[in-house]
Amino acid sequence: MERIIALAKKRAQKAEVFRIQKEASPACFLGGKLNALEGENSISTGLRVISNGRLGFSSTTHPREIDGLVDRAIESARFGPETDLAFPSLIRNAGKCGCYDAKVEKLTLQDIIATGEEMVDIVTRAFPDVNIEAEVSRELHQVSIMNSEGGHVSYEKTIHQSFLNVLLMLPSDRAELEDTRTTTHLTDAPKKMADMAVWRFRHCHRVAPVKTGKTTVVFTSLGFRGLFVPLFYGLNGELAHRKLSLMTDRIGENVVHPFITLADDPTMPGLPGSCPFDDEGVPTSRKILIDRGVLRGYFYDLDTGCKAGVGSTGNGFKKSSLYTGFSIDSLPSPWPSSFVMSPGNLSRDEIIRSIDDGIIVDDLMGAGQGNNLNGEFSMSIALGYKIEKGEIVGRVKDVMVAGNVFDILKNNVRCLSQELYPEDTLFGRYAVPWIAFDAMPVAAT
Amino acid sequence: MKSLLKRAISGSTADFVEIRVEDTRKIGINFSGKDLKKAQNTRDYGGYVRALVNGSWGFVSFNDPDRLPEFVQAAESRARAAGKGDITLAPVPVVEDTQTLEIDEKDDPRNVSLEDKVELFGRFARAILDASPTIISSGVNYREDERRITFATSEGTCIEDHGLWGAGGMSAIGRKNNVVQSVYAGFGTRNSWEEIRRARESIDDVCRDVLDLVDATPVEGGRYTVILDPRLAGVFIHEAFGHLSEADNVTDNPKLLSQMQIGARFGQDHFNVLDGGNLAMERGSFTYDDEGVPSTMTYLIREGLLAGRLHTRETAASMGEIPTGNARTINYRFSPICRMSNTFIAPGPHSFDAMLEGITNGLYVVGGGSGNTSKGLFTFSAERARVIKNGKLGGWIRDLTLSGNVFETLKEIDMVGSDLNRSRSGGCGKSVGARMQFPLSVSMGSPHIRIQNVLIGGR
Repeated sequence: MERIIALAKKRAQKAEVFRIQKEASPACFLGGKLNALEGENSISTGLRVISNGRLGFSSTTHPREIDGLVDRAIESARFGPETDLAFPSLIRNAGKCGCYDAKVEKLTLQDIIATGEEMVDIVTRAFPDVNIEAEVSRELHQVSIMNSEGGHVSYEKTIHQSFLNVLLMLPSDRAELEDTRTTTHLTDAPKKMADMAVWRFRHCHRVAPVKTGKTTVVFTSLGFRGLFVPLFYGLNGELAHRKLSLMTDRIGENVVHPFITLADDPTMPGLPGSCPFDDEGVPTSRKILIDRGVLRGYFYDLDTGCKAGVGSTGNGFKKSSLYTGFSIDSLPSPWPSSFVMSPGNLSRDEIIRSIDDGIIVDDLMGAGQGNNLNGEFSMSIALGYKIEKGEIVGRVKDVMVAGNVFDILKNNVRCLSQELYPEDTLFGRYAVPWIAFDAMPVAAT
Repeated sequence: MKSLLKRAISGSTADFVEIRVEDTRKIGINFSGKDLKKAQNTRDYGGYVRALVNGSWGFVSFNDPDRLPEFVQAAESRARAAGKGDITLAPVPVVEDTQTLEIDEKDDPRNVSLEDKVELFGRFARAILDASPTIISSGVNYREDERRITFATSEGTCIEDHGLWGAGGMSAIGRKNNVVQSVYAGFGTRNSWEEIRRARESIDDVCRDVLDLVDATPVEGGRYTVILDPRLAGVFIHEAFGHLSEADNVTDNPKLLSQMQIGARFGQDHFNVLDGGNLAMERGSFTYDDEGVPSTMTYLIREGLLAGRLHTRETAASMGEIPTGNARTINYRFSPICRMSNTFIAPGPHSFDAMLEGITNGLYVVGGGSGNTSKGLFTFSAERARVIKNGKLGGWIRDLTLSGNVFETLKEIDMVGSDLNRSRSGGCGKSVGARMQFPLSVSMGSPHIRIQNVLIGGR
């Protein structure tokens, strides 16, 4: 890394090297049977340079490529965006920090297989005829970031991930469920996920009719993921600075219901987005973005924090889109580390018992495909259940739910659950309780 | 590199082992309106070892080839730890070959600098924006991958391959009052920069079409006789039917397997669907698949009857069928799985005019094709359509979706045109377990086709 910096410094004013080494061991189950034990042993390097005030970038996964990497980064700086960003000069090796768990690193292949078999077993004992794909993985990441201003930070992180895709064939129909749990620490999340799959499918054998109109709608943590996307956009410092966010210039205002408190929290134990530094080497911290309904701030990376005149909040992550995870060939841009919504004061069961007539939404079709800037959505419920007189009476089918995420979070919030489990989804990382909304329009189609 | 791989394989005691090392140069350029969002050149280098022991797979991907013997051991020990499985591999010929990339020097995309590429696509972007004040934004992107692969197996196969894929797209976004519409055109090449430069000819088309479309009327939902243009028909056959032909999608699904019996009727007598990698210079073409199996051409539907499916060595063995050369991976981070290559509806006898004849109330549906398919059910959004009234094309229609059950819909294809056209850009995504493999270079092709009784909805 020192040699890359030294070589780049000969041809550019500033340089920064990002390196991640990763070891992963996933076990893949197809059709309920172990199909393959896999492994990844990777080392990836990204180089940013600032040459004549413009940002250049390249990356390589060849462990010893230096000249080519520097050449390509310098070449791309000729078209790069203008920037004044300053790389941090912090020196700190956080080592095996809060996002590291020795128990995860020590998991053996047999442990990983056993966890997968346990998940498959839980589901097939309840539903012998399902088709299951499952995956369990342990990962070890070593991240190191060094720059020409003397900065050098590093840390280690562990990841324990489990995945389930379950297809249940019903007499004239089918129900499909996909779920992922990712934690930095060893937990019983895989077993809980399998138990939850059974809980979900228990409600699938009967279709309960739904009337078009306004009703109480409860979003589970999984169900809410599609509606979280507009919040990513709304609180993104770059979009706020460019006045494209609906939350632009509204700090201090009541933007949502007072029940809602939302933090970007990279310090919460277990959440997969937890880390001591972001991908630009800036220390991370817990930031309350919405405090009891009042907007307190946005999240920034170095470049956008510099342009907005507020500095980075430690939210520069190398990620190419909402739908993908880390990618070495992406430049850092503002992303949340972990969005955490504070829990409420009713249990999930109490919420269900309190509803006379309503719907639970567990999965939305086309999640994230609404208008993510203004929050409008209209989506089919892929998996959902009907509540009558405080009890779940079956699943709902061919039902749409529509609204505006910002409106319903301001005007329709009924309550939040006290349970709060870490969830990892396609869209990044968040922890959110179940949220119940009153008077939401639903349509039977 | 070949000898490094052979040496590493000779140290293995697995029942079967294969090693792949690849080196890919990736160029990515992206304009949003007039702003250059991305112009970069990166390198992706790495490989994998896949070992089969007692019927179970062990797989390890890596970046450092100097540690290859260690990774062979790691793949083997994983295969052993997985215990006894039932995986076998269908036999294939042993191949020793070196494929070279032959491109006319004057027309070689690799000889065009990043700067000149950025300049060309910047001109595309400005030309779209300047065409009309109604066009409020544009998008132009380009991606070029040059990839060298070395592949060897314990059976003695040893292949070096070298390929280039350049592809991009342009979109024009127009707004009139509250109607916002977007029109897209793709372009691509395997060997010619001139082919990319010629994409400028599409600029006028996307601008003209988007201006028509902001004046279009929303669709009235219902059942229609539709004619699909080659682009949408290609996406339709790939998404709604092609994925069902991937053998790994049916092996674990008895209900689907019972529907996908060879010889079952899927369409009318004139209806033929094929997939194969052995076409010259198409986006989904290759000489060997990622298990070293020579590419072939497979009839999926022949004269209306299900005739075949797409196999890896593993799925061919498990179903007692013959490998088709359709084991593919997007890169060294993933095991090869059953994938399509160039999928298309074969040309038929019918002219476009003959298709129009006899339609009293129908739609000519053009472009688009993003949507969901799930084991037999599909919903696609189309870019646009034109009304067909009493055999004549009428005005533009916007915001429409097509949906249905693929098994029923294929049987409703009553006419197939002679004007086969294949996509030159775009990619296919497929997940196995938690991980999505996207984008894989494939082509989707079709002539114009006519389908009776299609459910059209609004958006």
